[in-house]
Amino acid sequence: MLFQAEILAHQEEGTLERILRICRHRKFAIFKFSAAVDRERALVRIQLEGESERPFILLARQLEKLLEVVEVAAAAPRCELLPKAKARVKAEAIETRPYVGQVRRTVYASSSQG
Amino acid sequence: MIGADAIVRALEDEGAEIVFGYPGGAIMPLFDRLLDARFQSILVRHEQGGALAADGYARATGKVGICIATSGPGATNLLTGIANAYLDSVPIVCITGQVASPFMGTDAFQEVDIFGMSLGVVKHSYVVQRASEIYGIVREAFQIARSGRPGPVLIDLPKDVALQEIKGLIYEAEIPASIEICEPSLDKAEILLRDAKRPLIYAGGGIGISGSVRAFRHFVNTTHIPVVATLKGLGAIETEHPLFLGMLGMHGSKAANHAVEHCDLLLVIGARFDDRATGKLMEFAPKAAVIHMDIDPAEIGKLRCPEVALCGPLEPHLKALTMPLDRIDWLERCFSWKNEFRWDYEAPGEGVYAPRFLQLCSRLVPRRTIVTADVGQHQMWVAQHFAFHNPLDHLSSGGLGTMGFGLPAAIGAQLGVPDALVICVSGDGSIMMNIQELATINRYRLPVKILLFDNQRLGMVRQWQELFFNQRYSAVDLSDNPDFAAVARSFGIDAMTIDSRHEELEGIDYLINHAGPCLLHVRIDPMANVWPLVPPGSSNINMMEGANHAVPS
Repeated sequence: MLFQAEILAHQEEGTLERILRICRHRKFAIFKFSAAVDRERALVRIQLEGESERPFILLARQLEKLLEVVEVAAAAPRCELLPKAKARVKAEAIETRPYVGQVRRTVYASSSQG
Repeated sequence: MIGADAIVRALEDEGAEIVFGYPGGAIMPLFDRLLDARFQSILVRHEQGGALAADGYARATGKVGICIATSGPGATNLLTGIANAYLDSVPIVCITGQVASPFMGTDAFQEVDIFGMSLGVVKHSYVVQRASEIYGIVREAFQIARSGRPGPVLIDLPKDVALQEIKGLIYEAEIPASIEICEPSLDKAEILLRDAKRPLIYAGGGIGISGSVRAFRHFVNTTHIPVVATLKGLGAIETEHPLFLGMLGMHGSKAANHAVEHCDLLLVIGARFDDRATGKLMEFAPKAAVIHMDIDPAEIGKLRCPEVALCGPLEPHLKALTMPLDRIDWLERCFSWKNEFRWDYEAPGEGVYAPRFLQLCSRLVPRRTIVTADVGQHQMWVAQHFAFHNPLDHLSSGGLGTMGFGLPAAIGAQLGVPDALVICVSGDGSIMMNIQELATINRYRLPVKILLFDNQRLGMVRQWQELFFNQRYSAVDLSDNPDFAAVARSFGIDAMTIDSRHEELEGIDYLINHAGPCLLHVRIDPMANVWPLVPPGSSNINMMEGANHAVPS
């Protein structure tokens, strides 16, 4: 199955490595990859295209467990936003407030990153 | 105050009681400050032993384990222990020294990219850039390690950062988000539960990890749904509870696997459809609808799509679904399987038959006994034949299957629960993987009891070669083992050897009642196998069985 995805993440040490490692390990081949860093907000927006025999939701759930990842959105074959409500709220908060030095991300105590 | 002081202060503020570590060049600033810490530092004899001891401490106490190592080989030696914690969802914080920041990336002496190497086996990791961050990072690492689905967190600390002067300690604690349960899913689950004629609980390690044992037992005792458990789920309900049918899966009980085969509703609670539990996935619980309860959303639908997913903490979901059910016909069927397929402890000859020995030992130990298992045949025999009253009493490397886990895990457990009787059940293959930790046991005079089953083979591999590789035995002969009793004595640990069933009670008495640490060396039949066994790629209903061997004395 082909997939397209957009990932919003905090730009920290190893963010890209973590995301790409999970794609490989979970058997999601990447054909196209681009990343743009918003240095002011310390965020990175990543666009992925690839293919896997596994449903994209399985990759999205693994990526969402990364502490850096704010949101994962599938763009194709059908556009669906994956639920990560608390993270999305946090992302909006970060995007709307002025940069005031290095912001450490929220630790989601009730989440289950692993 | 320097960066190393900030680490010590953060560990103290997290309530650390014990850290396991091994020093070296890049971590010297921290070891210097450990001398003044309010917690105890345990010197292990290999970093892997340190990580596994931290793991054992965490499993036995429910607290976060801590281990410290230097850069390069010190850090790489931790990796197996970190992976072990990752695959079994155990909260540990690992601190590694790193070469000074200007030397990072120059292939300096004892420099490895442990941050990069460990990415696949940590829940999260850090390279500390500034000393002012250290306190907050350590506190945050603890929060991450123990929250949600627990796991290991690594902090890589460059030496110059550890030595940097700092003025204050900064940490803004995050307020944990409130947890909501999904009412519509609960309603669906309740309907499935009420409609089920043959419901069955598949209990996993998540019950113990999340501290939901009490709620789980109330759920079982109210609904009267029979229970099968994974290796890590053992003890969630008492082994001798009438509703407990045994471990499921590859070396599970026949009653458990029959119940899974015939149930019409499977409640999967804190478990993840591991291949050792399910056998051939497509044929697992073929007649059952599934309700899957787990804290980790990535486990929902990963291997089997449930009819209802209850993603979140177990306790509120269990409480919400607790109701009387009493499916009498189904219970009678389960009880008849349990009776028909009860364990057979008869074995020919006068030698020690390990399953019988473990069952006997299990009856004689005090209630607060913690058993750590190494990996191999003896691990499965422990799971099958030792009775557990609590998940925290059975420490076994389930996910990674780490030979060498048992001994350091016993050290961690004994330090964490000093009043418990701690027994490490090992094999002659596994014990050699971390045998240097006998020195740690001796140094701190930890009253750990080691029960060593010696079949002079890598028994599980030998069993598989016998059954599935035409009896072509490759690299499994350990007949040149050292004299284990003499080895133990050379480390200052008393030891005794038995090889006859007439010595079993004497051996068990020695194991339980000997003052201080001891090793009981038990010679067993090299041809003894673990039964039943589900062949690889088969459905759990296709269980092989064979003879119970025991060598003539």
